[in-house]
Amino acid sequence: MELALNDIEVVYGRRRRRNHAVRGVSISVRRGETLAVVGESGSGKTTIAKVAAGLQKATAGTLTWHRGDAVEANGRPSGQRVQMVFQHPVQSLDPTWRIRKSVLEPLRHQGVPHEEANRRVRELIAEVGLDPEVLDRYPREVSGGQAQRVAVARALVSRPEIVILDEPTASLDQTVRGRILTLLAELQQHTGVGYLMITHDISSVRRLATRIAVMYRGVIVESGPRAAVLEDPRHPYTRALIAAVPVADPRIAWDGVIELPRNPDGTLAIPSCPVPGECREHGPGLHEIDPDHLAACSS
Amino acid sequence: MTLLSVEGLCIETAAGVPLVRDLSLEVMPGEVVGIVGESGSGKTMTALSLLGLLPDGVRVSDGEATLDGHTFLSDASFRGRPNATMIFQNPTAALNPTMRIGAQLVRLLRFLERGVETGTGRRGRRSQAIDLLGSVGINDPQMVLGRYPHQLSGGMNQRVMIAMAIAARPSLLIADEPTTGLDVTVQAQILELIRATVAEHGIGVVFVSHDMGVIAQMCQRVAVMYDGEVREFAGVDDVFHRPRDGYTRELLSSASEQLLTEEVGGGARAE
Repeated sequence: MELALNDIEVVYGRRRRRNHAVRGVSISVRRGETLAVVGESGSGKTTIAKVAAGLQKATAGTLTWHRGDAVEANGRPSGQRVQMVFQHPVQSLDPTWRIRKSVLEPLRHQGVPHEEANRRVRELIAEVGLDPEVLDRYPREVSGGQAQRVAVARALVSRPEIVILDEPTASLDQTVRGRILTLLAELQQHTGVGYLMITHDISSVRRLATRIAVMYRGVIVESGPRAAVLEDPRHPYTRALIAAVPVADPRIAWDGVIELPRNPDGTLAIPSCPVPGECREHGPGLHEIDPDHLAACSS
Repeated sequence: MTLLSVEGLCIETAAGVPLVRDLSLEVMPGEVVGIVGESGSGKTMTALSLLGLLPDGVRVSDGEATLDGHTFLSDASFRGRPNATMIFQNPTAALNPTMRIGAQLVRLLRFLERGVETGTGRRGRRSQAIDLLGSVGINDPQMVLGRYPHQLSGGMNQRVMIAMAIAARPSLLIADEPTTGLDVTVQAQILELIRATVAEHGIGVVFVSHDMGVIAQMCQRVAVMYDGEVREFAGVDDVFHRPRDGYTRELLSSASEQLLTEEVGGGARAE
């Protein structure tokens, strides 16, 4: 099972205030793998998450499901297939509901019988490493790390194909962050769920991603398998982004500032196209450098 | 000679709940000393106490601090405060939202000249402000002077904060998570700016952060805090390569970038 976003364009505002949040973005996530969409503020990565979750209508482009050769168009993915984990775990739970009710909610929507639903919730709460007594508490009575475990349980309880993780560790402390990433990896191995992870944090990408798509100002500038993108980045922005992360070892000298070549209008200038011939033929865009490893020559 | 030395610092709330217990720390001139820890560890309270900026009801209950041979902390009066400045986590909130950057800088410069007849007029201060902004890597200082903080990016506002912090020619700079919340490429620029600026002026720095990477690259010595106490205070190389404390080891392992999933080979994926 594979979720694909095809040539997505999202425009916010009208007329002179028109703002292209996302242009021509195509990504796909399969079960069992993690696609990390990496970018900084304003890159359009959160818009992509919203489109994939059906929370934002795309101005143009389609959302399709693929199983083998069968293609299924689906404007709005149903909650059975896609779930989401948000950045602020405590705020993403209803403060007036006990945690049990929040985790049961997706099953109630699907009409799962009460007894089975309760059994599944208890199983999953144990699986995410929480004491069952947490179910009787309110969100304000648990820590951020515990609340994020609850949010992960709520996302997985309806056995979705794909879970969208929107900055799942950004608001957590470092040691808690490591534990949540480990939990996400374990759950993926047990259930085969696919993750679409939206993040600005390169170190969590290093730990969890199968494939990476790097976004800059609304377009994908590079995408490919984790190792290819991290160890052999081709686009100058990808290089700058990876170099900017301070190395957690004082023995390794770090110089994080890489000047990006810019055109007079402030857009990125890419001095040498990796595949010049193709560009002259098809116009600038993403090119296949190695199998499955794409980089843009202009953005 | 030691620039800043803190001995047995204790901070507690009005109800007597201890927030920081028996903290000792020292900074040599021109040295960057990191305080690393997670939320609630007391690192920000420690930083704020050094400038007398503790929130209402929170007070220093014990301890002594000396800067440049001058004892403070026990002296609550304004004159007793040391020549130290601070930059904060959220620069946009730290600046006055109702004043243009230029007006804030001019006001600061006039304040710094208080009691001294320099003969610098408004225009002179404005050109000083332009020089200051230029020295923190702002390409178009004229434009920035005319803007309000909300019209500038977080990175630009942090540059303005750094300019204001060095305008007072402090011997100590306290940086409380100065790049948290900034984009990573902007963070790299700001860290580089702080590094270059303190080296140029020989300013000692207390650098508070939760990010082990930032600490590794910015600091010469590091204090690891947990639950209000310093668990380990040592050179940065020792902390990262010969950690003596269990909590330090846990922090380091959580910052590691070890892969959590199995490698997917040769593009052949199981469906």
